[in-house]
Amino acid sequence: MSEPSPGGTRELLLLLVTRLVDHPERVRVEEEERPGLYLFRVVVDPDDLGKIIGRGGRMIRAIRQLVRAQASVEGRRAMIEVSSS
Amino acid sequence: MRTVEAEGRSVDEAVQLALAETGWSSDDVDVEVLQGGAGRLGWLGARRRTRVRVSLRTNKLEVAAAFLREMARVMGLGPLAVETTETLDYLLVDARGPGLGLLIGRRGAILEDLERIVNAVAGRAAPDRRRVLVDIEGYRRKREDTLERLAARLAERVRRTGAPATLEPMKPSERRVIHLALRDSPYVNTRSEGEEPRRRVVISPAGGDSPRREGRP
Repeated sequence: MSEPSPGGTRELLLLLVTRLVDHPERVRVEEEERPGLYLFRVVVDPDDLGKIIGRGGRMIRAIRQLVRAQASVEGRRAMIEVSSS
Repeated sequence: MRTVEAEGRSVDEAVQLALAETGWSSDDVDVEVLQGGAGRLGWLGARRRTRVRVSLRTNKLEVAAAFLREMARVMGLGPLAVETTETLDYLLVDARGPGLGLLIGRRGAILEDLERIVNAVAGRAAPDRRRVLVDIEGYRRKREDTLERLAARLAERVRRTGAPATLEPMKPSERRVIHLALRDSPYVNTRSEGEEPRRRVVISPAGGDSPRREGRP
């Protein structure tokens, strides 16, 4: 775990995920920082996994795109893994 | 959740109690009287218990606009100017502000992702079937204008030369703009060919016998 990312990349991810789920209080975002890269591990309630991934993976793809755009402001890439608690 | 019940000696009092408890504005709620309710007559109704149910009215468009504002704040962008439009068929939020170009992406790719997320978030909050269209810095409208001009220019060339024109691959929403722009042209027909994501519009001369046609492909 590390400091919150300055550009609000982590905060953006947290906002998107918590607004899409039924159990926002159960959302955890772990962050691993590597050179030039954010690696986020998002953990949600098992009931909410489908909402985050979306039909055909469309929702997680959209989340990734937005988070990557924000990370790019800091000149970084971002990877997001999702799993259930 | 988004509904509370409260009791008082009158409807007004019960509603005021509910609003005080929740912090909601009287403009944003629906009130249902569950019990009593004749309490406005002063002492006549003074002893009657009145029970009301107060529900927060959620407006999908407002939820969407508030969500975009919150996103901008979290992303460290300046305050947004958000303009909303409501029609029978769709809801539109047009956001403008410093640094927002980031949310458009290459050829509007990120804007589509944003729209998907906004619809999911707003759809959870409000039972409104209308889709929320998201525009950033007027990108969507400008793109539609560009596509309409392109359609008109190519249609004119097809009419003049009699040779069909094939456009570059486009997203379904963009192909739709082309089809609609030329729907009423007596000189050309439009159809889509190929498979996603390389599906493209072909503009061809209208059938030789009659310049007019029934329906469209």
